[in-house]
Amino acid sequence: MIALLASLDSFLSSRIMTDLFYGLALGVIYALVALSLVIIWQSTHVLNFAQGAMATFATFVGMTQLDRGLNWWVCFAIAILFGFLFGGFTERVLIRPLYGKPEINPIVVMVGLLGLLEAIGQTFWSSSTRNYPAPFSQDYWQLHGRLVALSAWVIFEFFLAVVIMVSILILFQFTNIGLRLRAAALAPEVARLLGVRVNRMLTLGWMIASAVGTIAAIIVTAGTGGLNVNVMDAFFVSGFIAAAIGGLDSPVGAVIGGIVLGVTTDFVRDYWSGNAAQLTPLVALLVVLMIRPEGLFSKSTTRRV
Amino acid sequence: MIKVENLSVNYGAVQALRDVSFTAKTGVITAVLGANGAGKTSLLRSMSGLVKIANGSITIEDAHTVMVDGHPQSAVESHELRGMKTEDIARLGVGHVPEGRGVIAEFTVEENLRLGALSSKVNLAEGLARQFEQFPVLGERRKQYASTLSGGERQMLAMARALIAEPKVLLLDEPSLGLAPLVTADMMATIRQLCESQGLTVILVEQNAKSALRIAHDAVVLHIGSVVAAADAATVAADDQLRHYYLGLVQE
Amino acid sequence: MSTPTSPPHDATHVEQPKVSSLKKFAAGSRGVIRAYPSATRIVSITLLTFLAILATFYISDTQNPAIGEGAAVAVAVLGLTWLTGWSGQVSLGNSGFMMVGAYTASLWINHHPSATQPSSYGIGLVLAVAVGAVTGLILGLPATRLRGPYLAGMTIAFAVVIPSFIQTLSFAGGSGGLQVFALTPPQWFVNFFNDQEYGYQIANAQWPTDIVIAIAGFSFLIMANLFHSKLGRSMRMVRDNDVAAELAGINLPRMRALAFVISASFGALGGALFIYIANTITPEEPFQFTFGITLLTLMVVGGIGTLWGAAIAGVVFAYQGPWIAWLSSHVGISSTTNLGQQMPNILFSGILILTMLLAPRGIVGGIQDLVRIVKKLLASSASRSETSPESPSDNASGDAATHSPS
Repeated sequence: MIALLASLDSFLSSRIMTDLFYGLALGVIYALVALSLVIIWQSTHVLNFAQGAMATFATFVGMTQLDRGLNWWVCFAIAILFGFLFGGFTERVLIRPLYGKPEINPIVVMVGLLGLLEAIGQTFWSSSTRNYPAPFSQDYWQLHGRLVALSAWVIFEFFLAVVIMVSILILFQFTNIGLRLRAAALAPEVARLLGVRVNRMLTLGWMIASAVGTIAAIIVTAGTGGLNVNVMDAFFVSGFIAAAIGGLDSPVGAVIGGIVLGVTTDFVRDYWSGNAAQLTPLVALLVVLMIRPEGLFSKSTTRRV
Repeated sequence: MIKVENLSVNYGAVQALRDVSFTAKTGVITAVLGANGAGKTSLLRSMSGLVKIANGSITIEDAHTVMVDGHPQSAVESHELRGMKTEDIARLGVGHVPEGRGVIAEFTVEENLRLGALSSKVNLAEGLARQFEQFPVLGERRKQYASTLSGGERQMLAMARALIAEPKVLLLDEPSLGLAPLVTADMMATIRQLCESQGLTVILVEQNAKSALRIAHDAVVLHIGSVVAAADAATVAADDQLRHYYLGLVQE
Repeated sequence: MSTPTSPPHDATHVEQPKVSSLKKFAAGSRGVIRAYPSATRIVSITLLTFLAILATFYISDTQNPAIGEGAAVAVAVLGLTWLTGWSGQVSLGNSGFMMVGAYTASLWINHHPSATQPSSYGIGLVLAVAVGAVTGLILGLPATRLRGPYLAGMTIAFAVVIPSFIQTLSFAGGSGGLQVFALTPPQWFVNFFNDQEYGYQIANAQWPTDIVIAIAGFSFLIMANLFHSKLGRSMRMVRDNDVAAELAGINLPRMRALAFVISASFGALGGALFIYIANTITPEEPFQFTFGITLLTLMVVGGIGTLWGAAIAGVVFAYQGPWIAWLSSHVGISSTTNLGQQMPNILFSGILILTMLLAPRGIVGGIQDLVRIVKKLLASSASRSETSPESPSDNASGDAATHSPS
């Protein structure tokens, strides 16, 4: 029995498992960002370039409440609520006027929003990085003197990510709201003919996505990142790559893409070099897109003559 | 009952409908006939608020019985459809089966039907049971994706999806499109039977004038956006000029 | 998004198919492409270039470098306008091409024995364009299979990765970057312009700016001809309707890759020219990935897909500093506050969003619309009796110059 425990310890603290845990901790963030992008892409065919900035902004709003001495969980809820409302606001004000316009228009507007939010964020909160406390210990566990790359915080992160992914799945696949959301995204005109209030559904899609993105940003900042205006830039790029690898219209693909990307990147970093790890996402994207331009899990096919 | 008065629809400088007027009576199939480009689909789309109406009005009148001081009295509720949102028109009880059927291929048969029932007060389980009774093949395939259905089955699904919400008005856009003659005949018989059993107001847009006239009570003939004839189906079917010039029907 | 207002197929009836309105339709759809006689084109661009150079004689030495940078940025915007406006591919990564060009030229000048020789600057430019073209090809090959957001996302990934990649190259100076001496022309060239007899001399600080403007003018000339070439017309066809273009025998992947190669060449040239004036390049400055967004903003504000748009973009870039300072001082924002420092970004992003929502065809499009309205007013007052139906071809009612195939 003791021998078994000891071998378990050495297994959990082995190099491979350490990399796996690191990679997973990174991968679930990529997955959440990718999920947020995919929900918006599905509902309105807009790639939300401001996703990271919006989430960071919401996190800052939560942090200002933390500064005022509110409970961590209350601030967590405030940030998510702000993200939720902000998503709806963005869809209503910036995206709705652009439906039916050339696809460059929403891209440009979202890029503009990215720049605007980062600039406004810096005027409010300056460009320095601030510490954002975590509600759980981030110390890695010691098992009989061996370090395991897991902490209470990391476990919470995994738990939170799984809860969100499962709730999103249930919401979209098994509820009436989900049925309306999917119908509005897949066939807006038919949905309208059946009495679905499509515009509300599109707004709701943005709200849900923005809330998911905010949760990802809080995990990043309360984890190791700290909070600054640009903290989500790199995660947005990786999240987009994960979504593109999985296929922009596949939530399952986004989650798998994110986790695989996170784990792969960390293994490359450990077994090869940090520089190679920086190039890994782009190379992975290029390879996947060369093989399947619409992503690995997408059901849609490329339009042919 | 639906009253269309002086309806005009424009696409930019192109006038798709010009001064169209006719009445579709309750419990009656009104066939809208005409060649390609006559404005048939535009007519249905304007009724559902999918295209903007430039001029005229579309009113839906719903006679029903209300109790006034314990005595049943007939009341007429009237709604102007022009300017209403598509989803609100649908919620008013206008079922529209669009051209090309519009079933959502990524949904299962049951999900398509559920979506149809969602915006009405209908009990889902009862509604499903009724539609599966009407269209048994849909019951057999309720868990299949709509993409796996045949053309005729898709048409049935589209109709069932509109009917499950128990509409008062049913707008059918080319239900025979792409169907084999036998399936078309079946489909037409089903439409007639539904209309009679449920007291539906049916507006049936068809290019296939022959099979439409066989089941319709009334007929409206459109030609490049204007009404050239509006009469009962038998009269239209008997008019050689109409048959020849507008409906493409050759003398038998 | 499918719009509920798209006409169904049976609405083909034209109310009054007057010949005149059909002619107008044909003219309207050709409007933007309508080729000026090429001689006029050459003369007008040359003239404007000379005017720009002349203007630098009257501008203070402190402002002159900014003018040169503006000219360099105009070249890069030209490349972006080609890619986005003419081939319909949205790129957020053209700052990466600028960085590639700037590093290539700087490396050549730094590692070449005759570092300060003017000729090595020229070779630097040629190399920058060549390496830029190859980079464009590398990015363009996967791009041939991507559309819209995938493409934009890939280009943004490129712009993010390029700086960190260059940082790892040992010969590229790491995070400290590279230095390039200010561009100076050969002595005989200077002597030719500086007339000893009249005691007239061109200030040293002005040379780089004037040379960059001259090269930029040359780039505009090349791009003007590209716009009106067979390649340019094919490119537009690919943008407007790729299926039709393919049926017409145009090789789509080759076209799209070629668009990237050309765009990247102009970007790299712009980057190298920029560094000949700014003198310092690091992985962080000035071509960090947000610069790609700046390029996009400048292009959109100027007007997508036009030469004038790129020229306006250059002017806006050159004068953004003084203009923003003026605006800040007038609304009472100190440049030392956070807000003061963020003013450029806030204004740029805000203008980008507002332009897209309110005037998606940018300054050039706005002026064109204005001219059209004035012409219409004049025409209607001239012939009030002749009431013609609204032309269905109102080309101006389109949004950004690009129309993506849905």
